[in-house]
This record gives sequence, C-alpha cells and structure tokens, in this order.
Amino acid sequence: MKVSPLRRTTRWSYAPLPTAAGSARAQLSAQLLAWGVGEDDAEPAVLIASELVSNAVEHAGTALELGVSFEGSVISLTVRDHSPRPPRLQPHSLNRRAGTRTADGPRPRAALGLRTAPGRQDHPCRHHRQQTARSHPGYAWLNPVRDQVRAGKMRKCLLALSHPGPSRDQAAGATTAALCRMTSR
Amino acid sequence: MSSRWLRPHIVLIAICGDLDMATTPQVTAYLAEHTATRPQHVILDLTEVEFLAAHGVQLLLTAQDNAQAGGGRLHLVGASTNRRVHYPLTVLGLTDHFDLAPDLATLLGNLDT
Repeated sequence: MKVSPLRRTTRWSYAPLPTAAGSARAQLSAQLLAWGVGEDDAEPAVLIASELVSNAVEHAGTALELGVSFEGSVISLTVRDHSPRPPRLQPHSLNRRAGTRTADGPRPRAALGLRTAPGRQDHPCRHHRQQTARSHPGYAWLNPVRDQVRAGKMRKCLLALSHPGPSRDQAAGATTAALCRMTSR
Repeated sequence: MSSRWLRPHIVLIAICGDLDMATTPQVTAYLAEHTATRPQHVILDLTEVEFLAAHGVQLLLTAQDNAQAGGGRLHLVGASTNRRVHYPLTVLGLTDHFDLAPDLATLLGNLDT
C-alpha cells in the first residue's frame, strides 16, 4: 500500500481499565498538539476517541489500540479491540435506566454501550439501525454531533463514524473508526 | 470534591477534574452521601471540571432525576462558562435540560426570593 509521506500516524495500546480513556485523551491531545493541530480542532477528536475507548473497555473488555492519523485537514481515529465476540448494537431506550420516558419527552441519555455483551441477537442491526442510531448511548453521544454540524451550529465536522465492525486483518476483534475534518485551516 | 451547606435546604457540591468512566463511581457515591437528606436544592459547581465524558453526562442526568424524585431541584454552576462542560452538553442538546446558572451569587439570589 502506498503511503503518503505527509500522512502521519501513530497508535497506543491500553489495558482494559477505566483509566484507559483518560490516558488516551492525554496522549492523543499531546500528539495532535505536536502535529500542529489547534486545540479547537483537537477537542472533538479527543472527545470522540475518549468515548470509543471507553466503549471498548466496557463492552469488549480486552486490550485495545487507539490509532490516529493526520493528513491534510483530516484526523482519522480507529479503536480496535480483541474480543472474539462479534460486536452487536444494543437497542434500548435513551431513558431505559429510568424505565420510562421523562415527562417532557425523550432526551439523549449518555450512558455507553456501543458494543454489547454476547447473548441474544434478537435485534439485528438492519432492522433497528435507525432506532439504535438515535437511542444507542454511544451514538446518542455522537449523532448529535452530526446534527449540530448539519444545523451549522458547530465549527467542527465529524465526517464519518462507523459502527463497530470486524477488523479486516485479524480473526478476532472489532474496529470502530471516525474521521474528523479540521476546519480552522 | 467538596460540599458546603449554603442554607439549611441548599447544598453546594464542587466537582473537579475529569468526569469519566474512571471517576464517576466515586462521584456518584459522594453525591449520594451528601444529598441523603434530600435537600430542596442541590447545586453542582462544575467550574473545575476538566473533561465531561458520556459517563459524566449520565451522572448529571441521574443526579437531576434523583433530586426531582425527592421533590428537589438540581442546579449547575460553572457549566455555562466552562467550555469543557458546555461543549459536550451543547453537542448532546442538553443545555436546556439543565438549570445552568450564570453564577452562584445570581442563583442564590433567585433561590432566596
């Protein structure tokens, strides 16, 4: 594969500990700063990476890697775990914790859970994609980013976010990826 | 974290540092301990929060539910001025879901009248 000399890339490995997300934020922030990415552009990337790492810790529970690459104005993030179980979207209400909707209607509930524990597969992604995209906690965090971008309310741009999927180059594990576009240059 | 009773029915709890997966269990326990008497007003000072992850947002939502379940209210101080808190709340569309007080003095003035 041909790699552009302007494409800078690095990655870090973490044990599945609750502190992994904090370590990832610190290391990614420092790396982006070293690459000349301003704080305003780094902020959404760090926020997204933090949630993806937390998600892997919570639901895969294996060692994981955070990868980042930077070329031109695009920051690419990938989080890969090593769970032998295939990732499944976890359909549930944003207000599932309370069991009911709040009086003033549904609100984003920001618990995590992009990747679920093994077990029932009674909600194939295909059928529940819309529901999970809206209500899935991990995506409850990230979809509003897209909405804000569409509404022109955010200067930052999340170009793409994948669902957790099988890693192409290994038998076990799942990869989630996000692309952020820098808008300040 | 620290807590201070500003009035017999108003408790102020200041949270500092990162609010994420690693820290929310301790903060949750602290909040439970310091609001066990069901104060009418719980004020969380988020001025010193350095990162608000989804776990932290969930903590705030739960704190608000708990306050309301006990007939009280939750108020957030510092959330509107601390970008590291305001940004994720804005992204999640939650700025109208919470009572974001401009500052403590204004909030107390409103609660006292």
